[in-house]
Amino acid sequence: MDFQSFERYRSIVGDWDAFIAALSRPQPVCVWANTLKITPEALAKTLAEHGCEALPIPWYSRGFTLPNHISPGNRIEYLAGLYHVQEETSMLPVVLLDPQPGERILDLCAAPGNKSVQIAVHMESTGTLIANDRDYRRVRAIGHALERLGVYNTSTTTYDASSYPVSAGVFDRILADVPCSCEGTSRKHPEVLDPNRRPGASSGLQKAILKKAIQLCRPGGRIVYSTCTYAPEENEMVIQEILNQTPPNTVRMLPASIPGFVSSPGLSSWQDHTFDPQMTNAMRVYPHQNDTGGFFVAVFEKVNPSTL
Amino acid sequence: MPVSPTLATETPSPELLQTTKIVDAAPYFDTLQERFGIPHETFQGLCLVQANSKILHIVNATHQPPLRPKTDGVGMPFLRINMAVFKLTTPAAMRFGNAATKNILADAPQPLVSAYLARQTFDVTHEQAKNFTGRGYVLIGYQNRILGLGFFQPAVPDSDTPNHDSDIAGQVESFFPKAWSLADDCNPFGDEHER
Repeated sequence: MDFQSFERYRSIVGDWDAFIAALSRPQPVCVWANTLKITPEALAKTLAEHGCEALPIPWYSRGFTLPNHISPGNRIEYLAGLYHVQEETSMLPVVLLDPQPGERILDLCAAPGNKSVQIAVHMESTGTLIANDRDYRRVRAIGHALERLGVYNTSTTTYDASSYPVSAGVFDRILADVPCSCEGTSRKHPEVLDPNRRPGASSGLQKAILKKAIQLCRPGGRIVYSTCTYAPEENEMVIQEILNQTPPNTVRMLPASIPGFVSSPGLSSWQDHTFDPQMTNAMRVYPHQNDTGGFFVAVFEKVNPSTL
Repeated sequence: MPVSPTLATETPSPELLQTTKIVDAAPYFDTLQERFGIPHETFQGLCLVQANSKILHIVNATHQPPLRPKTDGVGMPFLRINMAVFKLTTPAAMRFGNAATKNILADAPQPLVSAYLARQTFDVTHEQAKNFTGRGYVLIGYQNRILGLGFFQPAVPDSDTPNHDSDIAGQVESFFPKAWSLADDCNPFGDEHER
């Protein structure tokens, strides 16, 4: 594979050779236990009884890595809704969002619904989850995932996330897992390595969605912004722009770190841009650190009512 | 169907009342109790909303959907009501079926489960059908995890048929959803098809 388009990140990924080596390997198959139906321990046991050794993911008590030869969507445990298949780094935003039972939570860019069902299960299928996407066909896919796992605390909506109505009410927590250039998914989707792709093409939309998330969150609530790309144009530069636009003390960035999961801090500078010192609270994930895809997550607390 | 907000569970949130059509759940829960022995308490804290003319959804009574934008779906598909006998949806059967006390085969042997997941019709023995009360919907599970609904058709005793297997209680037609079903050559218990 040609990783030429990633050369621009050589100075920030740390061990470049390990990075390239990881990108060249197949990505592990990961699942998490649907605790509405089964405990993680019982899931590991039933998988073992059916000849599948599930290795616990060290940082996520519900998560497991399955052998690479397994077809996780064809197994009895999947069909019974006992687990959900999700790339390991894609589990990070919800863990950092830390959903609680009974809360009112909004997933602004929810399709295909993997993170929505993870949120709903963390909420123990109580309270209110709104899973939104702007494409109605993709909203249907969210519904399928919710049904298989047996979740009944969720409403789906089809709306442009960047202009989501204020009349939807306020939310305790909001996930803004925004559309991006998906560079971090190259192990599964090599087409993202196309050198003609331009990182940062969606940054206008990304800023608008983050801004909207801040607007809809209640004071004291939490917002998680995430992408599956390395491009600072879609990560730190988006956040910096929004921090510049918000009055001081509207939001603050919380440390995004998880014990047992290796990550790098958000960048303090990129090319000729210097970022807010809080930016190092964000989490950058490179594939060689945990044998995963690439990811970026930033966690915000809304401190004061927004005037955005 | 009745639409009075006489709920078997609890009062829905103002947002649910404003944005959905709440239905009286009691008659539907009665039907499930009668066929499967699922007690009303199983649905404590939940209520039923009319998604469209064909189906009811189940949702937390405390759920607060947005006033705007309009929702595409609220809660989980629960009961199909556009048929002679109301039919529990597969997600609802999977979620609530464990509370059933009759018309349930909770731990079907693997060959039957494979047939069920491939949407095939299969025979059940008298032992397997011991709590079946007659023709109608039955819950099919594996290791006490319900996979969905089937339709039980009792065998007709026929002394004129010399090879009639007297141990067969009848046949179950699989209602496992087409979109979720497995190809015939797929073994859900893991086997040589995994590469």
